Formats: sequence, structure tokens, C-alpha cells
Amino acid sequence: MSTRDNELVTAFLDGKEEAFEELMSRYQRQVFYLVKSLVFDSEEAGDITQKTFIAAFKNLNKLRNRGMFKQWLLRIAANKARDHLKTKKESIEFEGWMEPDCKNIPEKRIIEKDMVRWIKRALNGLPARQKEVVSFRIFHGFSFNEIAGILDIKEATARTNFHFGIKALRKDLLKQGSGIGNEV
Amino acid sequence: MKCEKFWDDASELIFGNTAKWDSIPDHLQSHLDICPKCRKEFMLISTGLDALNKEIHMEESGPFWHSMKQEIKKQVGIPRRRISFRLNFFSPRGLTWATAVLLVLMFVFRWSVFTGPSLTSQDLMVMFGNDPIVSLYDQSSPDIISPGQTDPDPYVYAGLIDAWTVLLAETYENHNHDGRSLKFKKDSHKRDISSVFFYNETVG
Repeated sequence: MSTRDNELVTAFLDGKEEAFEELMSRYQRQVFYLVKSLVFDSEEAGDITQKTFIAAFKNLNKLRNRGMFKQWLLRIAANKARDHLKTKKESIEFEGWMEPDCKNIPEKRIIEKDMVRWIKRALNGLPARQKEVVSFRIFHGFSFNEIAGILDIKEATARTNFHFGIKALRKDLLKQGSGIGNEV
Repeated sequence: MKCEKFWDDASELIFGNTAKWDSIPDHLQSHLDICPKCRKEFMLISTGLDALNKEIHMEESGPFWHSMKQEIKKQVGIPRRRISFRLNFFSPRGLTWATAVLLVLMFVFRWSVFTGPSLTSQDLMVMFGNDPIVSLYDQSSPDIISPGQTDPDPYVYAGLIDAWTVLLAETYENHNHDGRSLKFKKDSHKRDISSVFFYNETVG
């Protein structure tokens, strides 16, 4: 049976290095990919992940409910990523629409690449909260309850943000996609 | 089904979780079959999201994780190991600690606690003719005058205050009227007990 987070946190505060190692191996990747789904850049995600863990470990003694370590850690990560994006000017540029051709693999790759850039641009155009909820749901499969815990909002707020987020996202995608999705 | 209705229903499927795209419900699939625009859009969005999902979760190299962890450890530092000290006096460890603490305290306070002899010790010292407090009292050396007796046999009275009072009173009564002078302090005050406890009595 694996050690619980609260026990690991206590062990870390007691100066046990193996607790640090275990917490890192449990959450290093999770935090990194969560941040990367918001900033879309490995290097930036690495820096933010590092800052997240440093802030978390330095303030670990302030964490009242040690069983909520994961949620607390992901919240720090989301806040750090949000702060980072506030100071960063968006430079993703959409380079036009290409018709898909699934028979031609290289061309399909190009389409995928364009679509990825397109979706990134659309996601980056969303308000921060909507982007977070949508990204957490799409790329991490978090439930609304989990998202609410991470972002410290109500579950209903998470659902609303998701609803408006994907609506705006699709609207943006349609706008860029030259009218795809008109009523039949 | 209208396209908007399709997208309302398909939103959770498309944007909810990339893992669900493999199983499209029939009513949505039937719309995709008859609507090329929605089919194209659905295909593009799902393809794009899938590709982006893969890009996000692309595994980094081992050194990437390792160096990040090392840097975090360097910045954070492992807290100093705290000594968990819950003393149980009933355990061998607790007894050892308690004894050690007691010995240390005894050593530290040895001058203030153990220097002065107790009353009983003083009495014994007096009995052996080695009273340390004699010089502190005016009447510490009672005069014993025994006319006609050159080699008096000394008696030493020693004891606690009640016994003292009795003994002194008896002595006073027995010897004060026989023409010999026996001086002593008869005070029963505690402070003076050490000045009263010794005297020599001449037994005639």
C-alpha cells in the first residue's frame, strides 16, 4: 500500500529526503503537463513547474490539510501559469486554413500542425478561467469537481466556464474555418 | 437534427475528454453521416485536439526530469530532521532520560542543596566534638562550672526540638540548684536550636 500524501508531507517536514523524492516522482509529471496544457511550451512549462514545487515545498508547513496536497499543488501550478501568461504577449499566429486530405500522410501532418496552432490560438483567446477549465477537461480528463477544487471555485462555476469556453472556442474555430458547421 | 443541436450534444464528447472520441453515439454519428460540414469540422477539431493532446503529453527525456528535480531540491533544501521527543517515563528510554536529567540537576545544584549538613548531621558532629556552627552563636560555648570537679564527664544532649526542650528543662532542674552553674540557651526557637543542642554537663 502506497504512502498517503499527508504522511509524505509530514515526513518531508520531518526532514526525510525520501519523502521529497516520492512526492516529486508522484507529481512532477502531472504538474508539468498541467502547466504545459496552458502555456503550450515545454521550456516555459519546465520553469513554471520548478517554481511551483519550490513555492510548494517552501510553504508546505502552512498547508493545513495535508491530505489535499495534490489539489493545493495543482492550484499553485495553475496560478503560476496564469501569472506567467499575463506577462507574456501572445505571439501565436494563425497561418491560414488548409483543406484536410487524409489520403496524403505528409499533408495530413501539415493539417494537424495547422490545426494544433489554430486550436492553441483559439484557446489562448479565451478568458483565463475558461481556458483553464477547458484545458483541464480536454487534456487531463478532470471532473468538474476536481477542476473546482484545483481552481478554488464552485463546481457550478466550473461547468459554466466550460460551457461558455467551448462555445467561444468553437465560434473562433468556425470563424477561422471559413464557415464550417453552418446549419444543414 | 440541426447542426447547432448536434454541436450542443457533441460538445461534451469532443471537448470533454479526448479518450471518448472512439465511441461516437449513434444519433451523433447519423448526423455526421448526412452533414459533410459538421463531419469536416468534427474531424478537424478532433484531429487538432488529438494532436495537441499528444504534443502536450509528449514524454520528456530522463535528464530533463532529473535536472529539474535536482534544481528544485537545491532551491528548497530538505528541512533539518526534527527530533521526535515524546518521553514516556514508563519506557526504558524514558527512565534513562529521567535519570540522566536528575543526575544533571543534582550535579548543577550540588553546592546549594548538599553543602549544609542537616540538623541530624549537626547533632552528630556535635556529639563527636566537631560542631561547625559553634562560632555563630553567642552562647555557643556554654560554660560549665563544676566547683570541686576537675575532670567533668561530658554529656551531650542532642535531638530535635521537642526532645531538646524536655532534656534541657530536666537538666536545668536537675543541675541548676545544686550550686553549679550551667549555662545554656533554653530558647525553643528553631533558629536557636543549633545553639542549644550542645553543652557539657558535669555529672557529680
